[in-house]
Amino acid sequence: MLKYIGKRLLWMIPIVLGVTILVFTMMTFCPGDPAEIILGTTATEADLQAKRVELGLDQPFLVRLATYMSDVFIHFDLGNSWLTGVNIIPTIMERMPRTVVLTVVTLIIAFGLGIPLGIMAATHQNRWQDHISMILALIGVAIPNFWLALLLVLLFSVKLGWLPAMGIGTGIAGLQYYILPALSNCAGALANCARQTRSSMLDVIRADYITTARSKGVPENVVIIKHALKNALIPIITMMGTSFGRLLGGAMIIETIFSIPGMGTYIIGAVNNRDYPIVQGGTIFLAIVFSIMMLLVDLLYAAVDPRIKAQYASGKKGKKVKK
Amino acid sequence: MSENKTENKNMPFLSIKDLKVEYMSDGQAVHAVNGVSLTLERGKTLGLVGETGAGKTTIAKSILRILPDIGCHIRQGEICLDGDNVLTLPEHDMRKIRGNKVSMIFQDPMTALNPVQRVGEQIAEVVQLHSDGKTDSEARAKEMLEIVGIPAERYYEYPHQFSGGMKQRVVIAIALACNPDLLLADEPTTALDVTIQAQVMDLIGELQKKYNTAMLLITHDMGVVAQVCDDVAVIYAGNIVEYGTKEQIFDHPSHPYTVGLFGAIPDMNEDEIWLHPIDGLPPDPTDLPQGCAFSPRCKYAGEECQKGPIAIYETADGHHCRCCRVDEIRKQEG
Amino acid sequence: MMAGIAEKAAVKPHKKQTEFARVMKQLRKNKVAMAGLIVMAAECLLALLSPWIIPYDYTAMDMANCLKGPTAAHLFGCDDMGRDIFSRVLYGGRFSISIGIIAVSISTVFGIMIGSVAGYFGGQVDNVIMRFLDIIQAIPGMLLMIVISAVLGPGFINTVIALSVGSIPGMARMLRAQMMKERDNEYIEAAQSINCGRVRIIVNHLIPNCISPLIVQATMGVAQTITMAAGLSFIGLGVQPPTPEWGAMLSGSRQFMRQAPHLVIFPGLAIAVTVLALNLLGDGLRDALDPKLKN
Repeated sequence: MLKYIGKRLLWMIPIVLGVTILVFTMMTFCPGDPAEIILGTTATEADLQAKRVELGLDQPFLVRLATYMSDVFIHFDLGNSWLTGVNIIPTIMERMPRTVVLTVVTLIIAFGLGIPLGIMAATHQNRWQDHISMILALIGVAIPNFWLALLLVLLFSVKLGWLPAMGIGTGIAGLQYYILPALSNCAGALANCARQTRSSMLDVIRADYITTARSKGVPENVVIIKHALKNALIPIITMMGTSFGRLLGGAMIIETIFSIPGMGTYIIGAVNNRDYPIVQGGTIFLAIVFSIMMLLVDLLYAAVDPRIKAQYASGKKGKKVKK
Repeated sequence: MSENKTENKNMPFLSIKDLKVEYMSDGQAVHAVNGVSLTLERGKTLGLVGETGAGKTTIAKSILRILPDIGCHIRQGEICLDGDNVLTLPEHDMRKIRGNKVSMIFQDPMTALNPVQRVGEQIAEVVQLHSDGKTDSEARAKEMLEIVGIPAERYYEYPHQFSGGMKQRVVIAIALACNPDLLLADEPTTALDVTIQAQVMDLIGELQKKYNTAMLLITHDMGVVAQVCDDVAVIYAGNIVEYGTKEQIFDHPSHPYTVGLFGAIPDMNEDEIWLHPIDGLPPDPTDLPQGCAFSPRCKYAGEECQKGPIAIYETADGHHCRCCRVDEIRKQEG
Repeated sequence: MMAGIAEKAAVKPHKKQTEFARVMKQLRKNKVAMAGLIVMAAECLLALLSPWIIPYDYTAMDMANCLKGPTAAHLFGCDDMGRDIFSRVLYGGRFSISIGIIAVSISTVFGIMIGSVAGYFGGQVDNVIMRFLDIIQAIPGMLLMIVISAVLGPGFINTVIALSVGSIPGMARMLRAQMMKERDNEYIEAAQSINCGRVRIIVNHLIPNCISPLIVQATMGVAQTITMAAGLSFIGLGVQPPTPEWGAMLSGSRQFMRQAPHLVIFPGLAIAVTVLALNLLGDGLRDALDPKLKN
């Protein structure tokens, strides 16, 4: 098992390198002259030329790429902001936890509510509980998170005044600032999770081993949780990985609505200010976080399904056992 | 109370009376079981014989009340076990019976075990559910594994590490772990290799003798029936068409369907080149014929066979046959 | 199964017609999916005809009606410049819906090309393509869109390009998986045995058999793309106001939302209804195209 984790961690290296090359290459096509962005339109041509040399822009593309790669992976330096000259890494370290908290809280709400909702729908197939939860799920999938955020702000902050509409706080009281952002970001994932749980539970509930469990005299709720749900989890976990990506992306937009100083506001602000090192560095950093999350999801498979664990341990490739 | 007890003594251990079960499928009622009645004594084995889809498994699942709850229900009838009608028992009491007093061996060992639970734990679970809390369920599960011929060390392995035959042994171990009074064996050997089939049947028989367990053996294999059954009920389209002791059925098959079944078995003593399959297909259970369900395939069928429900005739020695022309046929066949 | 495929191959000229008829028949039975189809068709029609049917010019400002709530004259009320929101939402459908459809069409074409090459050839070709897709997909979708729009800059065309590029990996992956499933079927061997060229096998035999999941994915994809486009516009990186793309409308109205909630309610509702209708249609199509998948 450890060997497998090691192998997967090694496998992440080319992916991360690839992402870095890809993002760096894309960013070289950004419009505008970096020297002019940094020094402003009033700068003289001589100053601009000096700045270009300082930034290494006179070098060929491959040299610049190599310099950047060595900065990132040998010196762990993502460069400095063009506008403020501040190094990016400390800022990311300060902002990243907020984005991660928002995303993880959202993920927990989505799966904490989505799975029970899906189970209820499956065990009450074609009855009102099923219909209502599936209608709610359809609506949840359809509502864009940023619009839901606006509606929630209108209701809970403007109308009722219960919750803050923007900013962040500290300590336990600071958590209230995450309630509305997390709620608005989780609707889609919650709905998708409920739908996925329902359909994979319905597949499993008809399986022979569920009848075996019932024939042993196992109480129905134990049959559902211990025997059925554990077998239905694989596709739900797969979805958890993709949901994490979507929630991370959703958090970008949600942060701008609630003025949360996380990675989303950082990167989007940088795009608007054409402060490209931040866009570049932030994206690479988030891609690494996302890759680690996907690795965790893979390990979760093994924890749930002994067949997949056996596959990992035997070193055979092939992530998909079911579906 | 005392009256009840005496009544219990006179009643057979298991008796099913006029059981009717229906499924709903795409808005159509599927008549899976249509008025089946049978009895079974302790320590005896009753074979339920019939084609796939005749309703044999449904009868067994009705006894345990583990029919799929979506669109499937028992229309009518009673199933008495030791004098109690299990169809009216509250769910809570029913759970105490399942796996304990009555247990079931399933047809397909490949899918009958939970793939994400350790094999031993699946046996221990049933022990724990029905123990008083003092029994060491793990020790009992290991003991059961040894009994069915699997080393106890394999307690911690998962089903995917077992072969089909071994999985079926585990299923048997689960079924027998609580020394049940009644064992429902649903084609326990169909999914296995021929060499293992005999082993598994021997194992079941041995354990049955040891604990004086009654067994309802569902099968379409006449060889197995000849080997282990005391009584035989032949099922066709959800109904018993012939019912009697093994000797009666094998020596004097009376119903044309039973006769046909024997015709479809190769006989080692005679040099037959062709088997005699029964022509036609079983009837559509959503649309059963008015009279005898077998009449469309029966070479003896006459007008009276299609008129209405056929009563079951009983000969003096307790041999039942659901055929209105049984006497004529007997004469004809000699 | 094999017989079915052989039959399909034998009656190819009629196949499309009958298959289409069969799917439509299945779909017509599904009331929920039909509702989705009707809503979607109505929306497309309204968007197409909007220049002739909208009650006001979608750009006409009327300061007297600034931020005015819904009335009989202005069904959805007026925005901060006094423009009729109803007219803007209808006209905006042209942008929002067409972004979805165009972007998905582009990504489907590229997805088919990349996915079928990877799926059919397998081996090293597949390996290289898949690793490249792995790299792209290591960047969360929305972030990738943000980066692409940072490179391209805002605007309608650039938003379409960003969304197309962003959805190609998903499409390609799905088609590849489908292709690998189909590739092992015997009818492909049969085609190879009578000397069919590779391109011919892919185009004539494999792609038609992968089309069902593709249609479903594309339908759902349009819904997702509309949401994503609106999201990009909302944060100022997509279509820019005063273009009445729904996300752009929300973005421009956000600051007035406290005084006049209707400014953000109606454009958002338009997105939600469209996405809902497309998802219902997609679910229905999946059931109609492949009864096996239904539960």
